[in-house]
Amino acid sequence: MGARGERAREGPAGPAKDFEGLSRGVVLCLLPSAFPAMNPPPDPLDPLLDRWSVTPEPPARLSAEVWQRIALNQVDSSPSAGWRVMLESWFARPPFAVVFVASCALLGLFLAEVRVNHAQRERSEQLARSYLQLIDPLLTVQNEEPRR
Amino acid sequence: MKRTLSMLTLGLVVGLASHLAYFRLHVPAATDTLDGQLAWMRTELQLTDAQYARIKALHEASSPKLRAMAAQVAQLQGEFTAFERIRRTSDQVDFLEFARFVETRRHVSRECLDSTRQLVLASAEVMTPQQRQRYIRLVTTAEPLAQLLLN
Repeated sequence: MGARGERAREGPAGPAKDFEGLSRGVVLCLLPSAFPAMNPPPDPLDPLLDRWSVTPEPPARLSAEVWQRIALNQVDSSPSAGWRVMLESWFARPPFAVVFVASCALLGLFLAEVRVNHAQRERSEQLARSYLQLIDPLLTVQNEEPRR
Repeated sequence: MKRTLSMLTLGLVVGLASHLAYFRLHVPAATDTLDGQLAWMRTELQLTDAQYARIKALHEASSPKLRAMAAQVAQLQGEFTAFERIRRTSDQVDFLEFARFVETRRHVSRECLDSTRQLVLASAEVMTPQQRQRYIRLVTTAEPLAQLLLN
């Protein structure tokens, strides 16, 4: 029997007792039974709950499933998953996405500038060599010799 | 996840596109002509328009002679190779012919160095002391010229 069964046997007003020698009808403020209109209607679940005393057996794989869930939670809270979640949350914000794309463009321009400087330096050295060959015929022949 | 991947891809594409576009616009054009080399000299030595015009005229005037000398030197180099081949195969040397060849080569080399020195000095005359210093430093990177100009 559950607590609700006990409550049903005793009635809504509880056991009939006097209060310091006064009868039930006198202690109006303590006894709600003095107002019959406030009695709750009988709950159809109560008899069912009274009969329900069997504790179901846990499933055979309960322990395994619990451990599996714990393992899954641990995987989800691993550092890589944390990074992924953080990255996704950042990219979900439009201002961050715009700043990211703009930064990529700036990085591309910066690397291109570095490459252009390098190419200009090489080009300058090559022009210096070819100028020297232009003004010095001996140098021209010396430089052409190894190619033969 | 899809959004993150698409944003990363977009960033990569934008970065690459800006890199390639900027590089193509600013990469120095390859030129081996006299005009290209003189234009480079103009930038390198910060020549004025008058200096540039004068130096250009000097180079254009001496260019045909220098080219002809380069062809002559190349021909002499070919003759020397032929001498060397004959010496290796037949073990015979025409000493008179070889002495004439050596003399011709010495004469041509001297002429080449003189022409180069004249051109370098005439160009340096047009320049300011700072420009001249840079120009001489530039041309003396070549060993024969260095020997010629520094002695």
